[in-house]
Amino acid sequence: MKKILILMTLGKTFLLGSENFDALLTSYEEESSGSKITKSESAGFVDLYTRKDLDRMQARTLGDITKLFTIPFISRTSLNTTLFSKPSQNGVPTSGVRIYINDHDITPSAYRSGAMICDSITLDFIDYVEVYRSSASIEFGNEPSTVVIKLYTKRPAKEEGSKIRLTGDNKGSAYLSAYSAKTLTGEMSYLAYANVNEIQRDVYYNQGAALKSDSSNRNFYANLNYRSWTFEIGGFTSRGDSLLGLGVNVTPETTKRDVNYLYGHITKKFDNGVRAQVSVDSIVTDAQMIDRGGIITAGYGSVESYKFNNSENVYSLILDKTFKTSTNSLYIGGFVKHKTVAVDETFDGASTDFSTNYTLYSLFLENKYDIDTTTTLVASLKGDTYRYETKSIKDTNEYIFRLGAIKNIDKFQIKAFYTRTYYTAPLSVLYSGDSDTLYKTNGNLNFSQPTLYSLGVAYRGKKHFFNIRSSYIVLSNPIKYDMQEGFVNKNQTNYTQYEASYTYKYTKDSKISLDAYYGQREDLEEYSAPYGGHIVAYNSYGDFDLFNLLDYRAGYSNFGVSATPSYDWTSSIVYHATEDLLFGLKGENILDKGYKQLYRGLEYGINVFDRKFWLNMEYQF
Amino acid sequence: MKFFILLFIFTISLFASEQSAEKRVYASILKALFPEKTIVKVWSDKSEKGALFSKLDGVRVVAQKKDADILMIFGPEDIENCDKMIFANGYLVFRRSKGKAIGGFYWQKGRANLTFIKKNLEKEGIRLPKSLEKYVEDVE
Repeated sequence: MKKILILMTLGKTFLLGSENFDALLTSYEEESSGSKITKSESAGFVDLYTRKDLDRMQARTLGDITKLFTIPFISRTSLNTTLFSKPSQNGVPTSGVRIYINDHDITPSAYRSGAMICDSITLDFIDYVEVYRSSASIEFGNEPSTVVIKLYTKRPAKEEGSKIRLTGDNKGSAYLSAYSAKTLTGEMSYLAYANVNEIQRDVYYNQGAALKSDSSNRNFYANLNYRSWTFEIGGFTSRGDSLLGLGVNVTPETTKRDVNYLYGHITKKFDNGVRAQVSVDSIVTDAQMIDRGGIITAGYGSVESYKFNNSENVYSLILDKTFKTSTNSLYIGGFVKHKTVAVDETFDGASTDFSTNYTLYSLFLENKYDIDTTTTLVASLKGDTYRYETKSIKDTNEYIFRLGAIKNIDKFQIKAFYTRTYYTAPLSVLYSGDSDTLYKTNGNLNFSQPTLYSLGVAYRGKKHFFNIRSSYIVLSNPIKYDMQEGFVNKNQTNYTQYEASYTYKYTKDSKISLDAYYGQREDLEEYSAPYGGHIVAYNSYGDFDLFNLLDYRAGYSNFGVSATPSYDWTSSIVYHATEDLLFGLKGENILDKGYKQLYRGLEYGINVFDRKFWLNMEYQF
Repeated sequence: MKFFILLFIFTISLFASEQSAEKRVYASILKALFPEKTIVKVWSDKSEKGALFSKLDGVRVVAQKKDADILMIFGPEDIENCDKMIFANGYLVFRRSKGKAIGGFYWQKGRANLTFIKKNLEKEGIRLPKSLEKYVEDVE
């Protein structure tokens, strides 16, 4: 008996002692990912993009990741800002998608001034990205949205070093970024990041007018962590051309746009568990549009020249706390946000300006209760009050309510959510001073209120993973623009969406994923691709990492023009010359058959992603 | 019957070994540094890490440095006049204690690193198993 026990001990030691130590360190790295702490299964359907994923796809900007999104998928507006669009739909309301860097909302604009430019958000200082969909967003302690994109910055204690990256494409674009992250003492650490990039894009022509969308961008971010304090500053500037501009015949002479965004954010975690956050955001947008074919305005008829300057400030105070027991987690909090907006507009020779502000008060709570080790119930409630300075806009009280259940059965997970939320109406649809300007605004609008019924089933095996997700959405009070009436609330609409994905992880570093999605409007109209799918493969062979993506979207028709089915093949190869030096080659929309966005007044579609080839070099020290 | 009981114990024992990668890293390090010892006495300056070490097979956490075979240092502990074997945990601790520490486990450039310091291994007369030899470096 004793001999057998000794043999068993030796056998066990052999089994564990023989494991490859490099593989063990890799497991430790994966186990230490911040997403293990931040990822919240109860916040909605969540997808995670790890640093390893981002490195293998040689992602530069958030736009590169959004190419993998299913619902909503990515496109671009006529003014070259980011357009999130659901299958068959024109687009998701801008306040329906919020992007955070750590806990700071970098999409706080009250006016919707065009700061939503995913290609302006670079990722070299980001550790991982979480994307939540069908979300009530309450547990992020901020303003409402149904899609939440959370970018988490690299942690100094894990980096302890610096990195420089240089990349350029065949069209003359250049991109340079550098960061440094270190611990200075056991209690103080920092991360500092800067990026400059000049992006050259394909030029299109309409009736002899050039449709340009080149941009010149600057990004920076820094944080300083001292004991329970975190100080963050960040921002970007983006100067460039706005593609189609505003002309009715799409014959732009000038479409210049200049966005400057800056924020500061302080977080303090008190010993009693209370977290306090104070932040300030500043967004300044300048735009100049000249179109001899005429820009149709609500207040000044047809003009050839339109200038716009918008200066916004957002001041926030957020307090929250989580009470936890072994089976229950209660999250409570509240915030106050004060938003100021000043707008100057010039229509040919006529100028007009206005300024206004509003304050948003919010209280929220969310309770998660584990009925047993496999079942969690979630209930959330949030009350928001909007108080506008101007009496031209009616004060609004809104609420978000959510019920959810998560059931784990062996390797299966079932999620079901009922969510009643709302989209904040931007000031640009509510108010334009004493008279109509570019648009006919309406201060009596009700906010749009989506109600989502969502169901998802996931299977997580060792090598095989699959997800099926479905949502039925009832949108009350959708806001639309009517040339005669201006912005108005329309009748309730219904929308159904489905998606499925399968991933096969055939080695530790290699996996292939397939997904498909479909979205149907109540009226069966198709204003964008009604369905699509991806094939994504990540592979590693020795010193080489490979990434391949095929993004398929069905054809559709809009504005009397048809777009054929699209096949966007993106391929990336990375060669690790040493542990600290790598070279990469990446092709985007290689077949030049990528998704085309259709626009009013244009007789053809425009590529969302250009056909490009990038060379990349990264060095760590 | 005896066979099945033993098989059951062996299986349970293997499942018990399905522990976190961090625990497995430390178990491997301690086993490599003290191959002959059935019980390794560990002292740590960080209480939550002490709890982690106490869960390792063949490891006993001691309250006094003088009773320890090895000191696991995570913070600004004064080790200048210490005559015990020291292992550095964290990049700053490793950099500070390169003259004395037998090795370090730390993050750098976004990667987890394990380094054994050759001259300090030689001072202690330790020969590491083949599987860990690649982590031995001439650190100045």
